[in-house]
Amino acid sequence: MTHAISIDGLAYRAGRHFAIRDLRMHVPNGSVYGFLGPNGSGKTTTIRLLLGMLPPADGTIAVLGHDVPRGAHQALARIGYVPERLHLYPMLTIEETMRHHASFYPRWDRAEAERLRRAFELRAEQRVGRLSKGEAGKLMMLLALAVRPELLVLDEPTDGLDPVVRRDVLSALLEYVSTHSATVLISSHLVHEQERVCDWIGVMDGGRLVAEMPMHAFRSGIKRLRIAGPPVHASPAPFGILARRAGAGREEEWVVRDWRDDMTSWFASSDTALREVVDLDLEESFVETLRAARDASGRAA
Amino acid sequence: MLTQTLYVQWKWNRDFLAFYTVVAFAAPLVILWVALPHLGLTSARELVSVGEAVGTATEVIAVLAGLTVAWQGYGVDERVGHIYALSLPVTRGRALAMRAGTASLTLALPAVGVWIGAMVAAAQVQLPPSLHSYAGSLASKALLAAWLAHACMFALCYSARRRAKVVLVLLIIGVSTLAVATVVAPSSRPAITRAGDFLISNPGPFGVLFGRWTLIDV
Repeated sequence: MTHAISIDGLAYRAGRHFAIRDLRMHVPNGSVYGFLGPNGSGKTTTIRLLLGMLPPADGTIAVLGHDVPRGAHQALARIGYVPERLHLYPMLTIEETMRHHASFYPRWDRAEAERLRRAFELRAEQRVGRLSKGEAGKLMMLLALAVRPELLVLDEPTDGLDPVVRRDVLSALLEYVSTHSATVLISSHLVHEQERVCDWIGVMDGGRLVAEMPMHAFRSGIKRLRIAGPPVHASPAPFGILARRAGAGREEEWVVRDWRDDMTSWFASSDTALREVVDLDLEESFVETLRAARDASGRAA
Repeated sequence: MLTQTLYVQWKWNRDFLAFYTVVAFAAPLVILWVALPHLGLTSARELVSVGEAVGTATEVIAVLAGLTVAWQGYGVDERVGHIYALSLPVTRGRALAMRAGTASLTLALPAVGVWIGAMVAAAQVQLPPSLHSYAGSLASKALLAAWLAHACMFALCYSARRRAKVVLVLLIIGVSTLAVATVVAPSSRPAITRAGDFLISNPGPFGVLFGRWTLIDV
């Protein structure tokens, strides 16, 4: 499998309290990669590092085959980027912004840009500084898509948008991805939105990537188990235990990952009754993954 | 790409550029009209001193124009966290060169204002045969001074904050050391004077600012 983004051993420090340490992240070509994490976990910093906007202290970054930050400008010509906040020059009109943007991108699709402008109901003569949040979100998505990118990097692209605008923006994105087989890295803390569109998931917390796996593994592999009489000397479990909490009486509640249905036999062999296997939705899986990662790092500290 | 950068630069700075162009055009005329009734059009020495007043005003306007254009351009980028500029597919060196180059081009406008204003002002007075007006020279100096001021402010703004701080601290340490050296070892004075002369006299880097600025001279 080749990777559109490949990050190894990345380190970066911002101030005294925040650091990215030994980050490894691999975004497969053609995937829609959901980059999840709570606010302040380092998602935006990682994105800025992989776009060459920040200099890493250590590690290697390769984006579309280009070393970053050295070859960032070559990679950027093939990337559509939507930052978390409006980043465009406020005194330009939409038309001027499109013209200015187009002059930097050899692959700019003028007809597509015009089509998207009309579809998004953006007025060409409107000044960027006077756009509403929804209009600004649409304009940034327009600029990102009209460069016909091989990789789209979207940092909270729908954060704060109303449901109608969010739907418009996401459907434009999905339409582009389905017709151009582009890779998408989409950072968000809106877990349900990621669940609908992503086929890979990376979970970031405290400057570390605590989980990276295909969406189906994340969604179906993490379960909550209700167990009576937990095994005292059980053989090593064939699944990963993310959390273990006391329940009523002799019962315990386990949150496990890499679960498969045939693993129920492990409980039978250890004289333990597996009472219930509960499916978790993505948000619960995300929260449990974070909790387990924090417990583990707390123990390590 | 360059045309679009120039257009954006123009949109950023056009209000300030228009202001400085008008002021640069009007300054020689206003100074002359204020001074003429007192001069009575007779004294060559007084005409020269009016020419120097025009020169000083022009220098101040040119420096302010250069500083403002650099600061204004940087301010627009700073307001959007430099994200847009950094996300464009050009190397930082090329992006900065285009910015600085297009800003320098726009600074030609106040210089043109100086040139026309100075020519019109010079035409208002009857110069004795020993005196000449130097409108073109004044405009060229104004352009150079604006470029120099712009370059200094541009470099300070766009250098990393830490690097800018280091440069400022080194500058302060350097100047303080020189000041102490002239007191402790008076023999070092000639060397320091030579170094100072190099900086502020032509063709030193700041020579244009410390040269003679005048509209009317022998």
